[in-house]
Amino acid sequence: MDADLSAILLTAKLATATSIILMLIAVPLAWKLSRWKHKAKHWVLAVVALPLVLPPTVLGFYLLVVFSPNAIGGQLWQALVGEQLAFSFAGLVAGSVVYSLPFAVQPLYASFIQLDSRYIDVARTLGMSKWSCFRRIVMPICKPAFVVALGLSFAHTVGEFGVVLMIGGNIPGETQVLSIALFEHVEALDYSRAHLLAFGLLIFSFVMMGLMYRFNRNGVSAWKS
Amino acid sequence: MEVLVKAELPGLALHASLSFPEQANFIGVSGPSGAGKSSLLRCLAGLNKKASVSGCWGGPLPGKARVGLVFQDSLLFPHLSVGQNLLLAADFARQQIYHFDEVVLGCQCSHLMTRMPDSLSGGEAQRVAIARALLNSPDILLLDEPVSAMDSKLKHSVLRYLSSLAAKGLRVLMVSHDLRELALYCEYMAWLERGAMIHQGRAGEVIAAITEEASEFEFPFSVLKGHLSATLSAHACYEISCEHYHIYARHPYIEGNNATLTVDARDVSIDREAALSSSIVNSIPCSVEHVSEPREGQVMVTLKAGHQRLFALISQLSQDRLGFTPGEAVTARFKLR
Repeated sequence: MDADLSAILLTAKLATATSIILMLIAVPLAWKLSRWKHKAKHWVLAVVALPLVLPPTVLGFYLLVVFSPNAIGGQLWQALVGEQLAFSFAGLVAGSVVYSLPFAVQPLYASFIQLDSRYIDVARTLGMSKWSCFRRIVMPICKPAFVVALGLSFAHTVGEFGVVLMIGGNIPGETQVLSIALFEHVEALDYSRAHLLAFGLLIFSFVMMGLMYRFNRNGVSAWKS
Repeated sequence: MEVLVKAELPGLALHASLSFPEQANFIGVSGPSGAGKSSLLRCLAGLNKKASVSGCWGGPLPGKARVGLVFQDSLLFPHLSVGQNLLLAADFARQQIYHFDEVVLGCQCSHLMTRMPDSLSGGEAQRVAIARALLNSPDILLLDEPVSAMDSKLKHSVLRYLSSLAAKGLRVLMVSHDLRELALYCEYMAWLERGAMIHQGRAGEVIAAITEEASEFEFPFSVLKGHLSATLSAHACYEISCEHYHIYARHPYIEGNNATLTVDARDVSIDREAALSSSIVNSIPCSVEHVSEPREGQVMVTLKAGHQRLFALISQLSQDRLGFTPGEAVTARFKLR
């Protein structure tokens, strides 16, 4: 049971760290992409969306190659931090960020694209700086997309399996997340513990999705008196 | 004011040169759809980075002047109430030129402060958008069809207020399809076609030029100017002295002692007899200046009363029967409206 609790805490920690990092990356990336008019834009969007269609094992394999102590990525990390990236919690976070990137970028990008750019024009003629305009106009208008991006990033990271197994292995307390602990219980034919974790994940995912849909509805109607 | 705006837009090369006396503070711009009017405003507001804007209006353009822009669609920030929209604009003003309550009152939006933008009618949203732009204390205010959704009474009230601010130094450039609006409130105006200024000058002269050139009788009205001689409250109208004659109007634009009114050419009839008992209140002795070629059974007769022009759109049948000729002395009559 301690191992399960440890897996739950590790998963929560991983999902929190991943979601925070993802928002820091996805918000400026989605904003830039929504304003970018270069013909290469479609290819950049395709790269961001790749994790949606790529088998997690393929992504996990390439990440493992990049993170390995022989690759530049792994060597750079080792030189900076003094630890290897593969089979570490930091490696899991890095892998999760890549894997969940489209889940954070897509809702934000769609929202930014739909935003009437004349709101920004009005804000600029009122003398707002780019940052003021983003903070006081764009963010509140697109608030539902921010919540969806954050929620999806968190929920998707909690549910990932293939990528973390490839790059994190199954080290209890270090890289063993919920989905892997569940897999291990099934392999050991410990169905009661597997049920507990599976049902817990099911309820969590259901509540998470329900809250997001609810917020989205409120987000749209919140501006109505 | 001397401003040159150049921009390559999709399907249109904008090359508009605006040239008006320095005291011109309320300028109207009109023209057919797709002429580049809204694009001109975007360029002047600095929102088209590829456009070249050069010249001077109060100060150099582009320069340090704060340029406010009001879109036809109002574009109030949807997550903020009316009051919050206005306060946000006031927060970002470099200096408070206008008193908050006065602007709110002038734009007739005192009762809307707690409302959310999506609960406002088109006219209400337009009034709030104008108030928001004013509270940001612009040096130059650009208006794109700003009163198109307002009813007639509110429209005149808001335009009078804007006109009073222009008289105190605010520079306003207003795009409108409604030439009557421009004729009443703008001393100067410009006519834009396919990205170029075709006519510009005093509003009455520009409108006369457009009317004479029009291939169809699209804008059949004239602008008369005079002095206010009396307010006839019992009859809900004003008495205006125009070319030594008294004429009457319900909604003239009055500034000080000066009065401006528009007269629809379809409302004007021409009589050879000066003395006529008629229910039509207004009559002015004129001379026929020009009779147009008939178009679709109608003839436009240009009349001259002193220094002012009056257009009369009459049927070809009338012209064939009466045979008005240039130089002939006649009396123009039009209804009190």
